[in-house]
Amino acid sequence: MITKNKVFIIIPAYNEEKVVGSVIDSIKKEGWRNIIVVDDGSNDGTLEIAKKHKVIALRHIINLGQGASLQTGFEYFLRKTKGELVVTFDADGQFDPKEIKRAVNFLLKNKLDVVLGSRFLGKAVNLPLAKKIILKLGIFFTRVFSGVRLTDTHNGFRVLTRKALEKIKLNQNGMAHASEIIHQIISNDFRFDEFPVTVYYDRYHKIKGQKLTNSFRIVFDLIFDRIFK
Amino acid sequence: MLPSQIFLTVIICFIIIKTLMAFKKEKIIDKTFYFFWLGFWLVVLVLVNFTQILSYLAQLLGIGRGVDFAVYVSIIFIFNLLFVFFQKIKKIEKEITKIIREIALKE
Repeated sequence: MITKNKVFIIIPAYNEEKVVGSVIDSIKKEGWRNIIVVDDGSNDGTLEIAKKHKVIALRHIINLGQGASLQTGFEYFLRKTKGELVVTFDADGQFDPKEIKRAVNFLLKNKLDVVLGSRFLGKAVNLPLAKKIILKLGIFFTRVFSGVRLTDTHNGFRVLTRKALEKIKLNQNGMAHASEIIHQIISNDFRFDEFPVTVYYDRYHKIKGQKLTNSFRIVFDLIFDRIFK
Repeated sequence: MLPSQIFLTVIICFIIIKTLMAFKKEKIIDKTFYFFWLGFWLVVLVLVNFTQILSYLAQLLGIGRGVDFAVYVSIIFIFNLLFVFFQKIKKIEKEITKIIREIALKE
């Protein structure tokens, strides 16, 4: 059994001053103490709020992207902690912190290396149509590139073991990291499964969420990386 | 000499003079690039004024016109350059990421 102090929650955050504080509080309320916020060069008060909430606050001095932020969090975890598990969690409050415990237990019970959250196995509350189309495109391209059938590929809710993180290295700084991580899970032969999670969309997410043009960018990044690696 | 040849010769001479001046002012740091750039334009200058060289090469390859040959070679050259630039940019991006990450982890 793994105790809660062996679990680290990594939150990549870019200009999330309005919500990051409440997200940290809600995670702490569930009893998780080890929280790493990676501020990705925000130009608002994200870093200050994270520091005020007494979490491990790392800062990219310029904006690199979510993939880079996660990798920075992973490297902090590997180099500076003795943790066993990492949970990646979005800063915008669309996930339910109550589900962290369930996802961790799911990984332990099934002796998995990685758990991937899926809103299509779980619930996507008020999911806008445009967003749905983008996500389905992501699923389609992951199938083409990695040859794996998943129900949700661009979900920021994951649980990973230290063993898995020692092998995973995200080179995609931008949003294409989500497909990249899946590809690396497969090529490393990790045991993984999807886990139903709830994703809440309200007006805030509709404003901040991925634009349709971004999905083309993700595809471009992936193809580019395949060709020029 | 055709009017187009005079026109191109003037432009190329201008570029060569600019390059020489830039080198004198030490604006060009990379010497290899400087010599390549200078050599490239000197070759173009020769080809513009002795078009029979291009025509000969074109006929050798079965392309027909010398100008067509020049266009094909330029396109290949430019695409290759694009590829090199892409790779360089990607490499720089990776290095920047590494630096930013190390700073984040050291703080």
